[in-house]
Amino acid sequence: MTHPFFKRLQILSVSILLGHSTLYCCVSGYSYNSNFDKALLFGNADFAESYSSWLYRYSNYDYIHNQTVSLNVQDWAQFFEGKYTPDSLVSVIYRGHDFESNRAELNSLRNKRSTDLKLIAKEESFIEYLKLALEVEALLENNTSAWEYDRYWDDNPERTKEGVLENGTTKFNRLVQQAEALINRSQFSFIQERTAYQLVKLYRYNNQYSLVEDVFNQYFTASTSFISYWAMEHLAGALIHLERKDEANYLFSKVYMNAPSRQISAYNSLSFMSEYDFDAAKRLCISDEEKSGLHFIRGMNKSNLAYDDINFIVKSVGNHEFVRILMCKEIVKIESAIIDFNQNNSSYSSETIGQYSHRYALRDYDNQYLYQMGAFAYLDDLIRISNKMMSNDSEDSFWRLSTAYLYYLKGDFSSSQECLGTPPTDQGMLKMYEAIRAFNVIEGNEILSIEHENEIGEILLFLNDGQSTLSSIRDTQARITRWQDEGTDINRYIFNLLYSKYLNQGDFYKSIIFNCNHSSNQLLWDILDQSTVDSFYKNLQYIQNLLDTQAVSPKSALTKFGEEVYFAPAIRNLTQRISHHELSNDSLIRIYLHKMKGKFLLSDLNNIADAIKYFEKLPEESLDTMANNPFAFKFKPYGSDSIIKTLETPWDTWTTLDLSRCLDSLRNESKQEDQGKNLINFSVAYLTQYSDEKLLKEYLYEGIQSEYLTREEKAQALFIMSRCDRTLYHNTTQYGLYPRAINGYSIPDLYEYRFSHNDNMWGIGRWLKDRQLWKKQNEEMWRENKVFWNEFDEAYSESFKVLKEEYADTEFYQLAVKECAVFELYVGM
Amino acid sequence: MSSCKEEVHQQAEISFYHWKQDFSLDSNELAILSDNKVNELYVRFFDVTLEDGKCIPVSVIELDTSSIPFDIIPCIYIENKVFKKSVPSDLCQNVYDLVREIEEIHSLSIQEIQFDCDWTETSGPNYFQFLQGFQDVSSWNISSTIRLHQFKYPQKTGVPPVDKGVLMCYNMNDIYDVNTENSIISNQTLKTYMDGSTSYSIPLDLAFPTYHWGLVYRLDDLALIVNDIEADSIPNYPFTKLSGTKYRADSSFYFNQTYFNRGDILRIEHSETKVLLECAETIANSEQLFDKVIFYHLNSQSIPSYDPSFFQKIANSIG
Repeated sequence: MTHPFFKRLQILSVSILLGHSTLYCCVSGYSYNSNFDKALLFGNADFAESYSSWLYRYSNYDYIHNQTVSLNVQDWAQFFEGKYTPDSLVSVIYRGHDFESNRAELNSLRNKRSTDLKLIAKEESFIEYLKLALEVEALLENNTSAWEYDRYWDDNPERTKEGVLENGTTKFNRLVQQAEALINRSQFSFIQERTAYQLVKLYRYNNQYSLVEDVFNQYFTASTSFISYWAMEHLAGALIHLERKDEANYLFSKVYMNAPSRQISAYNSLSFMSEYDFDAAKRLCISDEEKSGLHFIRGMNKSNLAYDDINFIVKSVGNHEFVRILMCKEIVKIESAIIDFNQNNSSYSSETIGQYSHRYALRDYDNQYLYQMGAFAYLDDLIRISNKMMSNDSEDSFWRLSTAYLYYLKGDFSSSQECLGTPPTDQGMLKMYEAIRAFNVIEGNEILSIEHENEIGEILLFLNDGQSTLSSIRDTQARITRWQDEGTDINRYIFNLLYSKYLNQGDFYKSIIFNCNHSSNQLLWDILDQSTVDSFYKNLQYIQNLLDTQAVSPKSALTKFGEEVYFAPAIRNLTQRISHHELSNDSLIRIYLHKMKGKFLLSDLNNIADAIKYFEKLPEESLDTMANNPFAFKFKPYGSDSIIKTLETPWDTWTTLDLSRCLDSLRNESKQEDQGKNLINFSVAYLTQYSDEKLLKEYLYEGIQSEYLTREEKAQALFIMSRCDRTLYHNTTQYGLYPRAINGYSIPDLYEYRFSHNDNMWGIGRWLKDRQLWKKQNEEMWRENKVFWNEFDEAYSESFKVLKEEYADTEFYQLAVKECAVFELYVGM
Repeated sequence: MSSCKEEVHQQAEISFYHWKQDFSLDSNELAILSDNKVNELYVRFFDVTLEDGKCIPVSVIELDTSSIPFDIIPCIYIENKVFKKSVPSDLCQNVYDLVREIEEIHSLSIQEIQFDCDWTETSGPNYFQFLQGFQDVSSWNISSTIRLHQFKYPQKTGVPPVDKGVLMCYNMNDIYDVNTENSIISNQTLKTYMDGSTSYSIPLDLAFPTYHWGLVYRLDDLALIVNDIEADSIPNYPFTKLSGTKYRADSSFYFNQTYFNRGDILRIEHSETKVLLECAETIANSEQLFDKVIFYHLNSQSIPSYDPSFFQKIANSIG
């Protein structure tokens, strides 16, 4: 069986590799993380379309499609002498509706014309062509369903679109006649070429490969138009069927080099299975540049190492753009082999400690055999050729930068620095230059002096156009349209180098501010961990360490950059509140850290008085105000019903200090006759705001044992204790429920549920309710997870059990069970 | 071997996978099938993949014979990514229609279809849903391949809703590690999956490897897999032998339709008779019963390297 359709041919080309001989591994798109190039950090528009941006775009089908559309409509706009803008033609050619009539289509087209100049003949010719092209498209589409085994028109004449009376073969013949007629009567060579292209397609898909060649030779031999390369690709496909593989390979290589929109398919169709195949195609090349093109294509294979192909091109055509593109590709390849970039940008964190150690492990590798075979041997090859090209360097300094970066990868920082030489004038090149300089300074010096820190800090500011940020570096000048992911994580790379260095040196403060995090995230979620008994003291010590080291850390440009990144949200927040004081960042950071310390102190209900003293020293505007009513207890996970709301207070104007004072006062008064409600109010506010559940439980337990609480108040106290139980259960198991369910594979629906509800960790109540349904449907699974659920129930039951058994008659209990979905469920268990 | 298993001992049936795009059997292959009294042949019909978000068949089989003296069991390899998010609409019907079309054109009589998918925790439910849905559009028996880890952890990975499974007894070790001795098969690794008490909840056949390949490591990573590598020709190319199975390419050149780069490490891996017999014994000592052993794959280049009685010995062991 033969395969008449080009789309099929492409698929076959790939599957031949899979099924017949070789499977290429690990050759997916190049990663977002890459230190070198990114079109040489965006500065030089001449490079942007050809250097490594091409690499990233290669596998992006959306990009290729958009590019194809763009180039095609530009071609048509040129035909219309600029009287139609390319954009206006997109909806005409790439349409979502059927062709109406010549007259209607012509009118519709003319409405898009931007000037009054008449192009009647061209417009009419275009509409005629468009009608034909759409019909050809429909016929081919109808016969290229991937799910049909046999797609010959002759064999399956009935396979036509619903409602079309003529069969495929008849329609084919009619379209061929129409195309020939249009070619004959059209006065425009542009339309003739376009129509001839439709003929090529028709013949190709009807297996008339010799006719494909005839048409091509008649209309395209001397042409270098946009559509001529599209026709050439079909001819190459036809030649394969005519068993003229060498010519086909040669033509595919020409398409690859000259028609960016067909690069992927041409590349996939090239087939070099032997030296003979390659040399045969090379013999057909008419110039050294074409020969170099073949080597370029082979070198661009993501799996291949391009060293030998680079050498050939250098010998043939010297410092050609091919060589620079290939070197970019090789650097990306060797870089990813040597540096263990974290592929997931979002997971850069303090946990990525030592993520670049791979490089050092290899450099110090005792096993010379592996060293010689592996990435470092190839790195030496690349250094050799890059070094050699430095003498031919052009104004762009490309080879100086590539050699310097390769030396950096090798760990030879002094050679790297030496290669960099004087700064280039182009802004983009200068950024690349400065980035490499920063890498060298950080890694080439065991201890960073204040001068080094100033140097790195200034480089970071330069790379980020004066902003202190950890965001990806992007092209802020936007001189040309960029692909949206064309950024680079050099900032994070530098931060990680600094973090590792400072951590190893025991520099507490700097290891914190360069850990690729923000204080608002880290201090709240990582440090405020109360899962261990002594966590309070550890946290207090931690925040005190930050305060102490911040005070003595020299304020270099680098430290300031790091602080402005790490404390960015805090600085922004405090600047808005107390701007009239015009405090320095340093002062704002200290206020923030003192506030954090006050909060830590408050988390132990025995330290409320100390916290108050602390808050009293801070500017009043800097203190947080209440985001919600501290005396309202939210029962439902998604609700806001308040059942304990005995204090009428203007809570929304309160600061942390006001609340601390109130808490102190409530606590002092609570252990008095008839003051049980103060104990409850204190507990609610404390739980909702600061929640050290363990201490609070002890405090409430004391209250329940005493005589000064009423029975209703004791029920309320037990209820609060049961909430404490749940949180404690979470904490002691490190957010126990979810990770265990997810990682243990035991509750599959919970995993799905979590994602279907936007990963909402706190949707537990809702999920519990749904769980009832799930439980009924999965009795078997339920039994298997019995141990899990028993533990889960235990966590809820400790205090609730007492509440249920001894206080079920209280008004509060009835209300609680009615209001709270979780407890309604629980009671039914 | 347990006494229970001994009571029902009989030789397992022998079959083969045919895993090439062009279906044609040469005289060697026909002889192997005849010598081993093979009645059924498992033939890869096509793969299903996602392209531009659409589910399509690729590498559809090309059959050049209308008279095949075996029952054909079509095998459809479905890439895991197809089921990552959902069950693609019409997939059941499309697969069924395409197989039916091939069946009709080549006058086959299909009784069973086999699906091969390396499902994961995420894609498993969708794959199972697909299998369930396929039962509604077809009356064929359905079998599914089972990886060793799926066999060992059925509670975690689930059991596909099919009439029968095929335990794939190969691709056991880390293929990406240049220091792995043999990634295809290892009795030591097999033992970790087949402890004495292991038993699956649906009937199983067994798939055993008879293939060989070359693994090419480049820049310290696996770069290429060269199927059916002509190892005998290696001395004719600029390779330096580093060990019994490892070679280093001393320049860049084409070999076995593959472009090698200077410095590449080539490791040749075989499915060796001795190891396969040891593995068969491990399987025989397990609780799991197998009705049939299917060798992967029918290839006149590699099969002759096995002793003519090899297939019977394996079948005898595991039956």
